[in-house]
Amino acid sequence: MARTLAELQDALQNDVLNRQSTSLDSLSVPEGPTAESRLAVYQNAYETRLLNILSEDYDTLWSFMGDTAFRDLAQSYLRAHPSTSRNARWVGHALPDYLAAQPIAAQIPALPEIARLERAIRDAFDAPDAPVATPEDLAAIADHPEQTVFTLHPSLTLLPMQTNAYDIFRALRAGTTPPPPASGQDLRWIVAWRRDLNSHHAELTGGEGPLLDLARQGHNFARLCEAAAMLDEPDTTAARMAAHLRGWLENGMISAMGRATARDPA
Amino acid sequence: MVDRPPFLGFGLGLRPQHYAEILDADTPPPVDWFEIISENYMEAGGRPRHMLDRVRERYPLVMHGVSMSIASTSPLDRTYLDRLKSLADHVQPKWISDHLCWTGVHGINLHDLMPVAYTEEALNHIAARIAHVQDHLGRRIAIENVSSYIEFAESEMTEWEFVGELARRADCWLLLDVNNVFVSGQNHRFDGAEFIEAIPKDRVVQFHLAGHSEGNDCLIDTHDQPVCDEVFELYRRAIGHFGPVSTMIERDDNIPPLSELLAELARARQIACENLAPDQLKVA
Repeated sequence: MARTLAELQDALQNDVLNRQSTSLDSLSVPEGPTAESRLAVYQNAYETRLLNILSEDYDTLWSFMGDTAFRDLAQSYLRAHPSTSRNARWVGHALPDYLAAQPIAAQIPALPEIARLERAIRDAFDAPDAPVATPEDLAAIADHPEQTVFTLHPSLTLLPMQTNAYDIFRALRAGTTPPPPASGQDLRWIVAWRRDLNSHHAELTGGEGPLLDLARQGHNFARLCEAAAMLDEPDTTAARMAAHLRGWLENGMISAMGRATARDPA
Repeated sequence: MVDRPPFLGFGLGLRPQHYAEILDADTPPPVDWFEIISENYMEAGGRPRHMLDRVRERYPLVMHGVSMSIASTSPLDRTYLDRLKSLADHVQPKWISDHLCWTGVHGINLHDLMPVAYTEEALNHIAARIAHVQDHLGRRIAIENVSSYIEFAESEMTEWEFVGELARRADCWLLLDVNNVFVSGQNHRFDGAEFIEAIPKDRVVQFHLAGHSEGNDCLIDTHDQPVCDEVFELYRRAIGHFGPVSTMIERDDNIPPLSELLAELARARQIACENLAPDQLKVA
């Protein structure tokens, strides 16, 4: 019996996603080729196309895991998360969280952290545009330190890491041998953002990471100074905060500084 | 008779690999217009939108989408259409196109151009959806024939009969992909010239020329190879039949230097010159 348009699409989609052949009786091919081989063109294209997308988005993770392990991960991820986006750039957006829940992540905790970093760098590429704050905006802080809050650039992602994922990532990107994965280390703060149309990444120094994280959460400048005083010698707080602010501004990490208007962070 | 948009001349698909050669060259490359992949510029900011704006200042643009899924039996994605409209408001393209295909049902996207059965049911369904999209966007859209590797036992007419009737019922334009005609013709054993000559002349606003690869027992529309001689010959038939239609080289993978694509474009231009009078090829 002839299928309706909806029935045909249901059957064909099922066959492409699951490598089945429920639609064969509706497929028509000329003499010579088989319906199975022609259906396989779509099945192969689906698998190849989506694997290529994931390989491009997570090429460092791919290098570190190797072809077989990455392919297994990608295939299981795609079965769990078939694409629901119109844009291929979002196909792999849930891979870091998916990877973090897999047994291999318990053995090698650096893996999901590498994936998160690659995702953050990828997302920075076409995140919304926004102005970049300038040193002139610092006047707001001097006048109202307890009311001044920061708006970080929308491309910026701050990644707390407890492994040496960043060392592995940088080594692989540089084409050198990565260190063996290690976990249980002191917390490290990696930041990914876009500046001058290019994605960047860096490790924040000393107590800078927690302070930028407080700024991200909407805490005011006075609160950041209190936290800075607890992180190191109180006498050096002003100098350290000045250095941090200068670095954030010079690197285009801050979009705006001004008096709080909307929310009061927890 | 439908008022067609103006003849734009000979264009290329805009690809990031060529931004510098297009924008920074002392002498602008001999390209009359560019086609952008709509989805690649729908995200909010960064380099894609920046480069788009720079190209837009210098060249006419058309927008070409890959995921409208006009033939899907799932509801049209209003969020996607809103974003497409927003991009079009910004770009001000000469026209907007997408494919005669579906990309998924039940919220899934296969990221492929899936073929349809050529039935009366499909005609009514797709024509109604095109009309809805055209109302939403406030303009006619152009629908492109796709390459296919299977046909359906359910089909009640040929692909060319279906495409022509769809354009009339939906009152839309057509983007004729000459490579897709050739690939599907080889895969399903029909004559590409018969396809071309059956399409209503007043509906075709754009030609795609592209390359393909050989699969196990069929040709595959990979867009990663130069345009082959047979497709250029089919283009000769098409430009002779339809008259001046904006023509472009569509390359999506294995992207060569711009000079190679310009050489292919020059060949298309030469074929058009051999088949049309000079005044027919004046760019609007």
